[in-house]
Amino acid sequence: MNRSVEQRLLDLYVANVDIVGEGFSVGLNSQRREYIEAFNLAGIPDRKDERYGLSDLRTLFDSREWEHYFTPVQLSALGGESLPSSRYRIEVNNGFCTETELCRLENGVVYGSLRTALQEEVDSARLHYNTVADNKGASLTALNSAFMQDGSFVYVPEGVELDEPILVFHRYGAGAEDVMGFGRTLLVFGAGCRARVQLIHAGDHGEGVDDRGSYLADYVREICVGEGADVHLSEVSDFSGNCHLLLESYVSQETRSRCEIHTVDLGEGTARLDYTTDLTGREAESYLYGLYLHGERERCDVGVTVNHLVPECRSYEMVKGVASGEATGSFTGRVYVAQDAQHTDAFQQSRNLLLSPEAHIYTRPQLEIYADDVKCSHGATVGQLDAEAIYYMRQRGIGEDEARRLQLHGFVNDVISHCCCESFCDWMTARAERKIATI
Amino acid sequence: MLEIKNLHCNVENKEILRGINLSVQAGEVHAIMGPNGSGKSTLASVLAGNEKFEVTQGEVMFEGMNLLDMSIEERARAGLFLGFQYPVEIPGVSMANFMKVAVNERRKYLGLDPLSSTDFLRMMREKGKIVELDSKLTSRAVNEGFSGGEKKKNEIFQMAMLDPKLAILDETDSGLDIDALRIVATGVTKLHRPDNATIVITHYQRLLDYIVPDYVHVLYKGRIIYSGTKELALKLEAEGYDWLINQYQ
Repeated sequence: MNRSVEQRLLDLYVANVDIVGEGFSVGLNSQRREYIEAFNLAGIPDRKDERYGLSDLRTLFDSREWEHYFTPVQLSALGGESLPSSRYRIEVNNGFCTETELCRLENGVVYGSLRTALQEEVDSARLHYNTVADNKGASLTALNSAFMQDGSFVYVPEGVELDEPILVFHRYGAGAEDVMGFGRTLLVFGAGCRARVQLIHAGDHGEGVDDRGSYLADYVREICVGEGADVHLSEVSDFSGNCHLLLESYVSQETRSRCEIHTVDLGEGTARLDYTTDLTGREAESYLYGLYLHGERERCDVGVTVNHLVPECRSYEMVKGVASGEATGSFTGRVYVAQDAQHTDAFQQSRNLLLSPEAHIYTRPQLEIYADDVKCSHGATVGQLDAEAIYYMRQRGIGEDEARRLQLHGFVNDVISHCCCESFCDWMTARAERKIATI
Repeated sequence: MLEIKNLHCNVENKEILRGINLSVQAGEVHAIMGPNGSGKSTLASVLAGNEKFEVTQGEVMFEGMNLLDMSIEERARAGLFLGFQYPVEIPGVSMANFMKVAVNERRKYLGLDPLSSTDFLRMMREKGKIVELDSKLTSRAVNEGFSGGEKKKNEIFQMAMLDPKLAILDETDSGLDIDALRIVATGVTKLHRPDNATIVITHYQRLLDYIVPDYVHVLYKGRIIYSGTKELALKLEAEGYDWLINQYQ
């Protein structure tokens, strides 16, 4: 019991190496060893690491004896939770895809289990897996790469315009036990394609599981956006239970591609959301709109890194946070502009509302610029609801609570109203409204 | 309709209103004039219920109710409307959404059912015409990016939507060009009926060319020092306040 978290995870890996690697290629399995060693070397990020200075991950990892299942676990049936409708859908329970067969559409689109895609040696999966997230310095990503057994996979071939969004629905939970799991997503978009993807992270909403344990998800996502592709992602994490989500999202964008991400965190547990985008081709455009809404003792840490590696790219980030009760939110943003990335146009903004004296917001926007002909700006605000606006609304007959609600809705609206499709926006808005009513 | 008796009020322990007496009946238009700092806007804010102001003495009855016991929103729902001198911008809240909630609160108070979306949109269009409000503005966020003139038109538009018993217009003419002044003032006149009343706070007689007052009051150092008819406004425009102030002192 006195072993460190790192040692325990290493032991767990060694004891189960055969189960973990079962059915995967020799090449992929040999990489796992490097990743678990990299993880062991780097360790769980502690608070000395500037990027993680605001999240106490070691305490989280140490807080319980986390179980890990190497086989799929049946989750209880969804209890009255309605999901946005979707024709193309992938369901992932505790990191394992519920369908083992891949879906192949006539236009060449492939989606489904990442395990199947890798084991059937689907080229787009094999060639791109672990290329964008090949970051051995990021220990949580390395840990995920060592333990990865399954997850979701989407491939949209060159020039294809996907008519409807693909929905990837992640659920986490495991009855009464405290469980740790690894989720993985690989999204590959060919040159000139157009596609929308919706991602939902939810807890085990089953009925009658009052003694539900905690869930710790180490989830990694890789997104490869080909030349001239236009991709739009919308993501919601909405845990009802005692869930902790550690998300590391990596995007690589080629020339003239466009990638827009909307991410909303409404979860009741803790979330650490890291988004890294590499702009590797000229004139690529990256947009990130983030929002978290938290009350009680909830916590959300958002990290955004955009790497402008070549000239003439554009990036835009707007992350909004609302903290009420005793909640804590943080934003760490970093725009990196390489020496020859001239004519970069980068904008980064963190806007926050503090609704109670016990809530905390930390915001740390950063620019790191090595080129000399660029347009980069950033800003951060932390404020309260506008008392004048509330007075104005009350003078029109609107009650104080409703006036606060309207104003909060107004604050979050521009993030949630521009996500990738109308029905998903409506679904997300309803969720956000429900959350606003509680904070 | 409105009966103000010996109203005193403080802001940060400084007495701003020092015994206001005013009676407004249905169908009347009252103009309140007076030099800067005399307490005109304070009177409007106190009647609206702004919590920055502390009423220390006096009584205000509105439609038989004790106004000072009512919350800001209760006063509004009962039919008291304040046209703001500086309308507030509310980013992210659409005019349509804002007005729908407000109108339905007023209707609820009057015992009416909420309006359907179709009826509400029709009402928005019709009332917008009264002040020639660009229909695009109603789909934007409340006052956000509106010009000075548009903001003031928007106040009168909201007044038309809410159909108040008593409208208090706080320097609605300030910052308006000649055309906008005509449109806003004509809008107010169109909304005037025998069963409602208006209090117009202004510095300038020209507004009163359109909105013809039954009474003109001069406020000075927190008291009404003189009341007259519309001719008083003309005399003030020509001669200023000195003769009245000298007479008062």
